[in-house]
Amino acid sequence: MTEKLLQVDNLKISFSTGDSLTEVVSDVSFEIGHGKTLGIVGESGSGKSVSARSIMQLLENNAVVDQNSRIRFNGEEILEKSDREMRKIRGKDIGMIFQDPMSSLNPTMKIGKQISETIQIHEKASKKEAAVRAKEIMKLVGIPDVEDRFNQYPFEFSGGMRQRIIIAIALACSPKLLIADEPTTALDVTIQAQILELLKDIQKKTGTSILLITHDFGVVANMCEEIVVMNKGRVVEKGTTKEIFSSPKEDYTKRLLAAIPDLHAEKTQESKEKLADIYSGTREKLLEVNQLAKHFPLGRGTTLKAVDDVSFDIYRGETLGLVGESGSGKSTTGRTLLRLHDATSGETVFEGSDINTYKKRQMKEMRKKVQFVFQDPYSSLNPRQKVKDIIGEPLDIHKLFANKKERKKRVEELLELVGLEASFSERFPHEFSGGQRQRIGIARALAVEPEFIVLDEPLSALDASVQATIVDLLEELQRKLNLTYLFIAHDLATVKKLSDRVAVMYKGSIVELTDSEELFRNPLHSYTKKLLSAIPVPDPHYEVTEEVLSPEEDLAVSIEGQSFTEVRPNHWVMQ
Amino acid sequence: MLKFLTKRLIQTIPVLIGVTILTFSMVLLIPGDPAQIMAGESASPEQLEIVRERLGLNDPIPVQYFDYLSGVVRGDLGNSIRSGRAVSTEVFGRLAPTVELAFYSTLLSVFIGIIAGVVSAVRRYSLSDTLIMFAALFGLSMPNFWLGLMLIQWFVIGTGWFQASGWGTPQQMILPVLTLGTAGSAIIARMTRSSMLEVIDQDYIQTARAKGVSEKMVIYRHALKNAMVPVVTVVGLQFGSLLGGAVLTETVFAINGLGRLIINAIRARDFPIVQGGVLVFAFLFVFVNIIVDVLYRFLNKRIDLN
Repeated sequence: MTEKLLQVDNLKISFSTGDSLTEVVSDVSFEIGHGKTLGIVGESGSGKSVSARSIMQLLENNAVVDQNSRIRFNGEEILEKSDREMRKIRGKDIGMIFQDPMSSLNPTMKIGKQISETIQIHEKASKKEAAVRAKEIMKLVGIPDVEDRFNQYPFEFSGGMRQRIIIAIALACSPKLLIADEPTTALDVTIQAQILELLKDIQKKTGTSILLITHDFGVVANMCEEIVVMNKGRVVEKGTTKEIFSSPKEDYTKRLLAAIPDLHAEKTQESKEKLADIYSGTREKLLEVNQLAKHFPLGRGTTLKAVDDVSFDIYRGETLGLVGESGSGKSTTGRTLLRLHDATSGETVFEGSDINTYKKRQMKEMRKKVQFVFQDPYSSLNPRQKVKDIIGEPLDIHKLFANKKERKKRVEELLELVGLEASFSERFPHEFSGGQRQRIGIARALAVEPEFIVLDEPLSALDASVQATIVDLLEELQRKLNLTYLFIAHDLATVKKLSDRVAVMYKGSIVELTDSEELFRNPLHSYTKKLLSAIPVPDPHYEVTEEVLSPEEDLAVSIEGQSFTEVRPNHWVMQ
Repeated sequence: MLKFLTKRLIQTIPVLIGVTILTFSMVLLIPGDPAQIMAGESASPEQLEIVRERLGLNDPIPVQYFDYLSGVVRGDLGNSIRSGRAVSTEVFGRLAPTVELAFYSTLLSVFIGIIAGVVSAVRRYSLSDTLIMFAALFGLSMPNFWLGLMLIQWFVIGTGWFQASGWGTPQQMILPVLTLGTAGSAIIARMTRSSMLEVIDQDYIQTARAKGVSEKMVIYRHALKNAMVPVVTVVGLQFGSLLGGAVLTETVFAINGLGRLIINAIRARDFPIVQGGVLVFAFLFVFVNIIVDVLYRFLNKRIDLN
């Protein structure tokens, strides 16, 4: 038997904090063959990234690797190498791709130099030779107009293009192993499909092995031959991709697989009844949005039409999903709807009058009925406020209690309502996990007993299993309190689960609007079709269709001069 | 770049006009009658009237201001009461030592501050970090006139290595530059340290390490330029406060610069000189900040977009 390219045995890593050692990775073993792809799947805190970084010896200073751990790479023991020796391996034999393309490139260095730097370091190439090589690699990763792009700075590149550059840097010296740490998590779904395909293509051309780290089973399904599932620093299960998907042995793996929302699941009876009410006109209209527009001035006379003449209705008790990729205008729509931005034109009719004409007092009344839950549970809670004051503040503003005792009682009720303990009210936000914080954010929104809540990507910062619990909570609250939601998201699968009807946004316009089952079964607009086919399917037997993989530029779908028409009963499409 | 500079220069016009309004108002705000102050306590009403007429103090205030402004534009800042010579001649004659002092002090504080800040950040929580930060705190909290006196005590009276007055030879220049540059070094060191620590935690530093770049080059090539962006702003502001600090330092070291000229003019109630001196200080400050903006733009390419 020939030796594997990478063999990790009994990897044990601890972090020292003060005097104590906390073990974050315990007895982790895995291996990757030449030209193969291994996926490590796990949620945040599973130790997957730390394990990957230890292969590069790029751990934080307070990390301690156990003496009995072994990492054999290309026939050599990595852990015995000095920093000087490691530097010859980093970037040459092992390339690394990071998660966030927006922050992983040096903002003050030209793109070309960032790629050729690696070549200059490792191959003793002259500046000129390195530049020639760098340009070749830029072509390989699909960058158009290489000669011009070479001298540009990162801010002139889109997210997807930056990730291609990061891949180019990792590939610069034809490494034997590529470590990709959540390479597509920060990207839109259509871009994600392209980047994954690019990685596969590169592997075919160069024969490099890939270690793919991700939280998303959809991503590993058609990328990897083998999968390692990690949880809390330990390997839960290992096997071929087909084995893991078809017959997972461990409960944890089963739970993770079950937490993947099913795109083909039928909607509940309850949702169907709601839709019947809406379509027959018996359900009350809560909000009517007419040709709402929000333009931002960009200076020099140009404007960004973030939201351009959008019209839709929201009915009491329903969830309307608003889906789109970054820059589609979905968040701006949500904010303009509540007058967090002032609309450029159009109206939002709430209880018979346009909220854009409200005076200060009416606005305050309106804020009591309409609430907002934000995307990032870390930055949307004031770190210096106790939970009781975060949730209590809306109560103070609208004077919703008679005395201190009542306020305390109300805060505790709200905490219990969102599934937290009443005793949490004395704590600060940093003491909670992301999921718990998002629950606090929801409790804050519920404090004023609103009728309508705009949920702006409330799940995207959370792990899949946590997402599932928050979705359940939102559904339960809707039933209990007869709430109406506008659910803004980029993730089609969760939108499907939570929404009764779905609107697809693209470049500031709604291109398709219908009930969620119909949308997924029978997408009519070409953009919706692209979006749906780009979702990574958690099924190893699934083949990606060709149309998803067209380069970024070709993805642009023209909606110029089109109008919104009802193509089938209750199925509206821009055409 | 040229377009940016032109735009930036046009933007300074309202600022400069604002400055002239303030220096002009100084005379109005002095308690009592400016003519009385200028002519002296014993002046007769007739003499006062002559002084008033000569200074245009009988005109309405807007007319007085426009007279003053047109003088400033033509480079005519009036005449010194004491010497009778043109204020512009007096002020520009004294400008060189002050600008040199501020410039060398800035150079010193940039040099010491950045090196100390980088060392401190790279060896966070080490002994050298603690010592540097302690020294910075000390340098920052020490009044510079006191530091100047101590330096004179040690190195002029004590060892006799340097001279305690005048400007021009290294022996005369080192102590004042050290005195004035210490606080700046401390501020820049602290700023560099915190900015550097922030940059070191950025993802692109990981990217650089993953390329196999040596730690020295990670700091020098990838971190430093990014960390300098906020530091440059501080250096610009620092230069302004150095001009102010020069007033004290020049007095301690008996340097015939603009600061000392102003101090003496205040003592002698020679208001045209004070007015002219302050105006030149303000113009210098504005000018230095334009240079800082250009540097800033050079460091941070993203500003190019706007």
